[in-house]
Amino acid sequence: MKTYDIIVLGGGPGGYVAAIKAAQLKQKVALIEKERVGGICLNHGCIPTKAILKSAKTYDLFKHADKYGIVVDPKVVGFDFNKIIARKDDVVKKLTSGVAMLLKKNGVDVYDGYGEAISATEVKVNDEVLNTKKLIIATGGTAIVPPIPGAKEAYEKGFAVTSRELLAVKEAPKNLVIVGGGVIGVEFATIFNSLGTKVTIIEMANTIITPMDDEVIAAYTKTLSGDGVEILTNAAVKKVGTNDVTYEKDGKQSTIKTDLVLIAVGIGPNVGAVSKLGLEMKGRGIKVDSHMETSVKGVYAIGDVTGEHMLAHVASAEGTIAVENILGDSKHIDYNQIPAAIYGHPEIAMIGLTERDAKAKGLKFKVTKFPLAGNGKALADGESNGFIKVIKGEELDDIIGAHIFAYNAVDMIGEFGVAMKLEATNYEVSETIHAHPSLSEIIMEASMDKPIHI
Amino acid sequence: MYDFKFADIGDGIEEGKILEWKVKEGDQVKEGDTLVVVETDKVNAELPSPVSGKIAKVGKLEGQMIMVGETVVIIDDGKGGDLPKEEVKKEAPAKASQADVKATGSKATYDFKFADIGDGIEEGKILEWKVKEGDQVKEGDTLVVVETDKVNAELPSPVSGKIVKVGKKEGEMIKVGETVVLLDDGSGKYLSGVESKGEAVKEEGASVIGEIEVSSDLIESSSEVSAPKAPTRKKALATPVARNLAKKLGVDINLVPGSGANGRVMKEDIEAFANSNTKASTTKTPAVSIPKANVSRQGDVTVEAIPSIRKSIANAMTTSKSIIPDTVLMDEVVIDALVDLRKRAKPLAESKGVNLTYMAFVAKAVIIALQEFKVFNASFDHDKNEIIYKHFINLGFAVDTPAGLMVPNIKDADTLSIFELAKQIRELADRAIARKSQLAEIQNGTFTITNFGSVGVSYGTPVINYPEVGILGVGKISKKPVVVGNEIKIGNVLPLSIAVDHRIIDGADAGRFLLRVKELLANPELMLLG
Repeated sequence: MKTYDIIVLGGGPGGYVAAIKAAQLKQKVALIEKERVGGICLNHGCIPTKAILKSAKTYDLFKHADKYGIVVDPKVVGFDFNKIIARKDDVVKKLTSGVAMLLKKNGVDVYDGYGEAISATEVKVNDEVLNTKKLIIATGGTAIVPPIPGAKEAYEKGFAVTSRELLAVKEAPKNLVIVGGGVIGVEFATIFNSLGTKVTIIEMANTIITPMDDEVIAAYTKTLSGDGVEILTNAAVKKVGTNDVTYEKDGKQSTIKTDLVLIAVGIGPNVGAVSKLGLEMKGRGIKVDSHMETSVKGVYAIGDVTGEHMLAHVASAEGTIAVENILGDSKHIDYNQIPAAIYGHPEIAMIGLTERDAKAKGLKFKVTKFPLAGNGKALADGESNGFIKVIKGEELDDIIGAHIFAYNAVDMIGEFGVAMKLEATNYEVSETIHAHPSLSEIIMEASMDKPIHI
Repeated sequence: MYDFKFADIGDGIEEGKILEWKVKEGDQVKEGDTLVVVETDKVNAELPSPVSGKIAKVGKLEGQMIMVGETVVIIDDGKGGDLPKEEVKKEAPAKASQADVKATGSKATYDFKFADIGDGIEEGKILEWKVKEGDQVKEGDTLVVVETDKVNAELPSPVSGKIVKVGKKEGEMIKVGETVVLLDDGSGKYLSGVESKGEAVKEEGASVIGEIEVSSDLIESSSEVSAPKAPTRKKALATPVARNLAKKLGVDINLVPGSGANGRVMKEDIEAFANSNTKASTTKTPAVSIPKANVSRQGDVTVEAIPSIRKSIANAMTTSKSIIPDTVLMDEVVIDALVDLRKRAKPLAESKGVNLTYMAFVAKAVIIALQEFKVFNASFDHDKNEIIYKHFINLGFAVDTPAGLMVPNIKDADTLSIFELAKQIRELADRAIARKSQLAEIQNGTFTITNFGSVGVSYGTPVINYPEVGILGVGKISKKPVVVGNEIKIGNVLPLSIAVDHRIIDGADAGRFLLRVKELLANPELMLLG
């Protein structure tokens, strides 16, 4: 029987990173993955949507080329949906085969199959039982189909889809109803809206993208609506039919006809493969301590399967510290320093607390905002929609939260991440010389008490 | 693996000295077998093994100090599990460096580092080398004399061998953790700390005038997981937010152990330090935040750096005055009977080689009063709101030395006769004046007497030697008119001033204490009775 130091169950961004990290630290490691390595993120989530979004944005750019003085006959601008999907597949393949290569290079034994934990030290895969000293559960999650009348039947017939199936459709639908105004919902809304689909978002809460800062939510909602996306908030879906969706808003029921329904209400943890271990649960996810260890000693869980955060970069960070803790370290993650991103046009990125949270916590803080319209690079790029908002501790001048609403917000949030990790104050950030012209100058300006260019 | 840590054995004992190992690495032990004898403040404790198994590693060597929470031994109890982190980390480099030694063929040397000798001493000045490079020395031979804040310490050689290199020249400063000498002891067992990175060097500990505390970086390398890092006074690496918070909370950031990369002090370290700075307040001089000096240097002035003993005094005084809300009571006592007794006892004392001073009698009176008023022989932990009563009396007394104030203390003074007290006072004072005090002599005092009568002063407001809670000032004995019955007579009058920590001692308590001391001095025969 083969014995490993560590077996990682699941090859998503949590699992494969954990496996490589462990192998680098001279552990004998096996990774078990039922599909392609890379998980939802690389295969059905972050990466493919970004590839398609790029196509959508490029199409958009051509449609508005006159803004930059480029003359393009609108009649000749079009897209080939199959080619967009083919390009997406190509990107995904490059990345996943890259990951597979990295695993191989680092000497990780990759098992192609469904792994099931029989005990804390035994995992069965393809009728073979593997022994391990430590187990890391990284089985991820699956999109939830909520118990709305007709939803399950519609999903089985293909009228309703989750993000995974939507990425494999043959053509862009004419109409798309999106149930759920979270990150996934609004990203697909942007994509398909750009490709000419009539998109309607139905959200139960009183706003879309609820975890974001209120001002960002308002600005983003305005932008999406302005681009033609219909956003229905405080609206509950009552029934999914065969070619329509019925929802209730303000006590009134309405029905919209549509070609396709995207169900994007959240992701549920995949815990079937470890049900025999009798792990303590927290909600639907596996309960872990700050070291990522579960209620069973020697068994760790990371990423979506814990039912929290549901972010690829959190899973990777958790995978890394789980391995380090297995090897005797005592690390934990500061979940207050995790960036969150929403891709769209523009993008949203945030780290730390929203103004709402800071208020709720009773913190003493001040807020500085700086608009993209005051930045040379943004104006030159013709992308002046957006702002940066920084929430600053009154007493320590620490960075409590940073919110960027800008066309390349996600690439910029890292500066705030480094600053928070190093516990820099806003003073240090504002005193850092930023290159001109660049969008990053806005970070410097927003970190000042009194910005120069406003 | 079972990590057996030195536990709090009560009585405020936080550290002990490894006296004798009964086992060595590789030995099999049974649960209950004595592993080691540890000398603590009060008792010699035999530590029994908590489990049966094989000794995988001993935490400290004989002669080294062990703090509560540090590893005594790691026992392989057959249950598996990981060795503490440093084991895992150290394995590889240790092997590699052994290979290095072989490959280069160079003789390995013993890197003798300047250890933390306690009491906040972090550096010293090399006064005099007793050896030079190339000399053969035996274990215990004095290598060098180092002047520290308070004492001149002779550093004995920890091993026998040849001096390969001396670390510092005479007159240079040496800091805790820096190399005193590199010794070739011929065993090939040790690696040079100068060439190696340090983490591969397994420290054998260094000894300084008897009582040793291993320097903080030694603690770090040998037991990173369990040892609370000793606060050291150096310029801290710290984040800007941590600095702001330290400023706000009045925390001296240089004393806060950092948990970030490279020991960087993070915000949460400041919070933790501010919340639980309790141990330091009872055993070490705590941090006091002093406003920045705003001193003009214009005009005809001379600027002179103060010697380390003066720095130490300045810090002690600032600490006392910052922490202790003190109150002072003064009174005088007619000591005609004592003058008479001393006169009669002097020849006897001299025949025994004792210079019988009034101080010895005052000391005795104070000791008796301390035994009756226990709160005067205590410390106050303001973080925990607890009074630590000490069941031993280490009576300190201020000595006016050419270098500055020194306060040696007489250990277990309550067990001594007046003659013995007089003798010890003289010996301790002589050593302090000659700057030959042993570190232990200036540590762990419980109450202090200061005699400003020797410089002709009657009354004063003495400064309490923190964390003690009281100090008695003894003034000049002078002949004064006193009323006896209804007549005015000439009496020998001794003025006394007592300062107390008003947080735990009220004025009335201090008055009663003083009254008792006066009573004893006025009727010295009472002192000979109890």
